Amino acid sequence: MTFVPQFHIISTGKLEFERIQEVARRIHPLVDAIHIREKAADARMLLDCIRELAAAGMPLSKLIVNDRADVARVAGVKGVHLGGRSLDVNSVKQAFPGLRIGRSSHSLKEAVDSERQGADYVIFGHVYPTGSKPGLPARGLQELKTVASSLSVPVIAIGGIRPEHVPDVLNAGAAGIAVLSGVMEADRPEQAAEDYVRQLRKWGRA
Amino acid sequence: MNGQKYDAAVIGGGVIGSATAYYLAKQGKSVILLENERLGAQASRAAAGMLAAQAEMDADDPLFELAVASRRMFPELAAELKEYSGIDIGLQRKGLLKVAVNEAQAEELKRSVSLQIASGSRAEWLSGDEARRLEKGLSEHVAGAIGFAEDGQVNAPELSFAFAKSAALLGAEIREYAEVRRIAAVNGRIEGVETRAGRIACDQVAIAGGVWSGELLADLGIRLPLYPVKGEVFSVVHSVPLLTRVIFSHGCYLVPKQGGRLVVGATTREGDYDRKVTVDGLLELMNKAQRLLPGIAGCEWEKAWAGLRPQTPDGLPYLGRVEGLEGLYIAAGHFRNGILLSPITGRLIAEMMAGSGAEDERLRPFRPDRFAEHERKGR
Repeated sequence: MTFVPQFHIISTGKLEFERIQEVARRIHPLVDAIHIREKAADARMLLDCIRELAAAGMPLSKLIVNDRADVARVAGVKGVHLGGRSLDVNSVKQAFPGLRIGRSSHSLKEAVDSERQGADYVIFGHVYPTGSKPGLPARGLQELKTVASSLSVPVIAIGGIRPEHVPDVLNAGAAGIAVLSGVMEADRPEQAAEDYVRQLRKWGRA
Repeated sequence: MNGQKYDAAVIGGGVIGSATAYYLAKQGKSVILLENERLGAQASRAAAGMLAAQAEMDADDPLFELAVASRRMFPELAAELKEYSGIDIGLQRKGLLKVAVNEAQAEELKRSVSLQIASGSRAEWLSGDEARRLEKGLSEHVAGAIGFAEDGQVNAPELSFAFAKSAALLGAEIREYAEVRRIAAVNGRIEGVETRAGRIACDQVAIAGGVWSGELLADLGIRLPLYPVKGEVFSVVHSVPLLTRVIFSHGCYLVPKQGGRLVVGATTREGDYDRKVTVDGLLELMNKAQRLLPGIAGCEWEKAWAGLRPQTPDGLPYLGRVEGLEGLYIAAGHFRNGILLSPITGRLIAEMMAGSGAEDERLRPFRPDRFAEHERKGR
């Protein structure tokens, strides 16, 4: 059985909904999930954005809303992704059964806690130095390996991952990767996504 | 590098690996026990040594039956290990009290008593006063207790050493500071292991590396999720023993050792790989201990330490054969029950490796590959 690693795209939080929509429309066949992560947006704006995406042909089953479980439920998307200041996994699971719940984790402690609370997957990072988290030390491949080998749920690696990093990241045990600017801000997002997908298919473990 | 080929290599010189090596050596197998550092230097040394089969598990726990069977092995085992190694494992079978410090806990324990009795085990409900009659040092906070007459304790580091030394006397070779870097397999069969000092050829490998077992297997593409749960422990001494039985409560246990020593454990820090003892952890333990046993305030401080319990996502150990790689076995993830479960684990794994251990239905919940598909399915 071939294992095809997961590929998540995350919006950059710059409220460029038109850009998100344009990129999403082009790349969604190539990815497993697109996260709408726009912290400054209110619930209404998020819902409108999702509805426009859906109208443009983006499958709701590939959309994940950051933080706002209520919006995710109302919009009927696949899941919600929780961060450090979000509601806890347990509560969201109880209040919104059926939503797929992911959680960002920056240490083994947080990752273990996420799984114990019932998270369906964990995003761990940042693995490589990245402009999104200036000044914070990268977690590195070794820590990714430790986290990936500690949990039973999939661990998605994030942070500064370029296509050439894919073999190392998968080798460390990640079940997939999440990319922000590498695709969203690329001059040719479709081609950028394809570069990742090619690597993911090539290095996915048999 | 010598040219010798072993029947089996056991990776990990803690209590589980040492027990496995012991039972393999008893079968007459040529065995080599490989330890990263020193024998019993990690969790096996940190453990308080409770044999809390009934106190740790409810009767419907998949581990319950194994735990009770393992506890039953101790009296004979203690004599056997003493005979081979001369080491006294300090087996005490004076019973254990699982205490409640409020009414809610008391109600929960009462339910647990009836379940245990229904399953055919011995357990007795005691009121607070009855518990204080048995153990005079217990405080007024104790609202009731279950008396488990058959639970008890051993000295954990001694048990671990006694298994290893007895294995050695039965012909097993022991190598410390022999870090295993890779497990070598060809065409789906184990060929040997690679250590810093060279390659060791063997037909079978048993991995008993505690929380460190997972990463070794990750290199073979085998998922064995394991994470550390740090536990901090301290000990004090008193001129006369404050307790005769082990006292077990929510988040704190008191284990009376020889010579008026009292071991108090343990905190629970998930995902912590460091083994530092924190002030925070000690304060938490001391407060709980003093609430149960006020007399502890007058004891003399001895020392504090910490260990890493190997935990799995579903709380059950990995026991058995790894599918798809002939000759590879695993015994890891015993969380805080490694001392108690070491005899039955060592014996079962050695029997499986000899091919005599039938695929026991009772071992299904412990299959090492139970999370293997998870990652692929969990999209």
